[in-house]
Amino acid sequence: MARTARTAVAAGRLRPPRFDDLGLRRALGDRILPLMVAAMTFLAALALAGVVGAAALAAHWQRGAAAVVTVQVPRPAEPAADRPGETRRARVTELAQAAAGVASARALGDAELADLLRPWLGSSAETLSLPLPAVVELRMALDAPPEALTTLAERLARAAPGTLTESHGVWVRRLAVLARSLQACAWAALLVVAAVAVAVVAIATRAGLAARRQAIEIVHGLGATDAYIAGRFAGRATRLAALGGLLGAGAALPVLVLLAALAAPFAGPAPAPPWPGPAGEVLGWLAALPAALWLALPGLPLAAAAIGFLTAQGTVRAWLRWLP
Amino acid sequence: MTTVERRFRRGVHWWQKGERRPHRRGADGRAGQHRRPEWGGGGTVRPPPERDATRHDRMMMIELQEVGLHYGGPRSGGAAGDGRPAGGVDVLRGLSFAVPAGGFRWLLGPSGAGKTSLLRLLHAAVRPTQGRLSLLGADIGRASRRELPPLRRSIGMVFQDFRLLPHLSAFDNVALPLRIAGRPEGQIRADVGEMLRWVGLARKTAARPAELSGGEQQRVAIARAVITRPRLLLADEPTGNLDDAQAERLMVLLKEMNRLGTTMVVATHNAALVERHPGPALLLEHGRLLADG
Ligand SMILES: Nc1ncnc2c1ncn2[C@@H]1O[C@H](COP(=O)(O)OP(=O)(O)O)[C@@H](O)[C@H]1O
Ligand SMILES: [Mg+2]
Repeated sequence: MARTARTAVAAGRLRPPRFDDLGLRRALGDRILPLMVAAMTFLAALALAGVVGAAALAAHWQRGAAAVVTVQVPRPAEPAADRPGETRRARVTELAQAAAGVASARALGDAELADLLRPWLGSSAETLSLPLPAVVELRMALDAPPEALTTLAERLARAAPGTLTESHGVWVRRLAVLARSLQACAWAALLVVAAVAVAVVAIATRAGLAARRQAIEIVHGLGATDAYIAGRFAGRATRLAALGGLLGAGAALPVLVLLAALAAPFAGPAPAPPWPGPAGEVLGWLAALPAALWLALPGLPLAAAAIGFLTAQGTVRAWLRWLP
Repeated sequence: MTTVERRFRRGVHWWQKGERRPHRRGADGRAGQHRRPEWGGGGTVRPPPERDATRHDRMMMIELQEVGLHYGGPRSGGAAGDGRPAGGVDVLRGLSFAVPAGGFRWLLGPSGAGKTSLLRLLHAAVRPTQGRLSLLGADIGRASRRELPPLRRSIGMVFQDFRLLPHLSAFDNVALPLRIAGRPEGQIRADVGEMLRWVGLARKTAARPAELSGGEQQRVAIARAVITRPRLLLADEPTGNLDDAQAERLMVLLKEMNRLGTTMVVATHNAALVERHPGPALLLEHGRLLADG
């Protein structure tokens, strides 16, 4: 009994599952490096969410708010300046409909106008005898050039002096600039996180090299190539970094889902849960994550592994140049 | 005949057998080369110097011309920074000698003479800081870093301080050069097992170096040096931790390997051993060669 147990142990030691000639299992421990990489991956996931989220918001604002333009035509029933046979309201609507870059133009009816005013004037809005301007609502085409609106505004003001073309474009442009700045910051954060991850792996590898210097010199003396030695370190660093990447991405997933749920009202109608009950709700939340994030999230452990591999290879090969 | 001697015989037989194996590296005509043992039969007759055999097909395994080694210069020969003050020391100066393929040399000299440093040079572990050193036909001073690992793989070295990997078993330590050379695992198991039986460590295959006596560690180091059947074997005080009987057995093994064609340089300050096994010698003192042959 004892004898077979001992031979089994001996056999195990004769051929370990992964021959660790440089003793890297201890020199490159499986605690600190994966934890640091996990933290980096978590931050990278948040930065990625920032990139994707900012892009989605910018696109949404541009497509939605930017497209709507309101035109106020005072004294709508008077004749137009450039064509006295038509009312100013009809002339402005007609010109707007024909203008380049405009998808649709429509004069609001009295009831709709009253709806708009009710918050300000209360239920008496319909019976009020104030001179109200006509309101024409334009939808700009998505690919309309920015100057199309200014050209149109000038044209409308010539046809009906006093006409106000009120675009939310300025606001939208400011929001878009803000979104793009946020996006740039998120990219920068991603780069910094990647750089810190490289530094973390390089420092761990250097510590491992220092701890195993004698073993490396022995193996080098036995004819091991740089590729052999660097491969040992890179293999270990890749596994540890990939592990950290998985942990970090896994930890980031619920946070991202929560953020997506919070952002959902601003990003359009939420998809209905695929089936009722908590499971369906969770699935619905997961589905709320933008597709780009779904693609990028599994990429994070892969990126971590690649950083581990390349950094360890580079660090070890540079260090080995000191040996003849 | 003692058991260990019988083991050695068997081991030598295995080594001989291995010589014919198709996977042998160095099948570059070495097997067919003319070789002459340089050992006196009875141990008292000095073998004739091999200069007499001026056969031009006897390639020079080792060739030094005015070789010097300086430690502690701007770039010390060893690994990064030995921590020695700049200026350093000339450990070896003006060494010129050659050892032909299949040759044997004792490397003699008092402690501190530079024997270990010379062996490091011959192992391509340092490059000469002066002169020209050629090993197995390659100019070590000029060779690129890429050329050195394959060269080292055909040189076996028994270090004075063994240099076993402390976290590996005796088996894995001996297997290491084969794994570095990328040999298949099945073959490694058979060869290493036989080699450990050969040096009398069949029962200690799973022991770590810390669990072995000095003599046992030395035998592991010897097994690791010869497992690849190197073309050149360098040994630094290989009997330093062995008792007389073990030392004697080791000499039987080394002689046999030399007879089969392995070139050898064995450093020792054990005068009695040299007396019992006389052979051509390099005598070093203060880094200079006092005598050759
Ligand atoms: N890495 C080194 N840096 C500087 N000096 C060294 C180094 N290694 C050995 N020496 C010196 O070189 C001389 C020869 O040492 P060594 O070759 O070990 O002699 P031996 O093996 O004959 O005892 C000694 O004086 C030793 O102090
Ligand atoms: Mg020495």
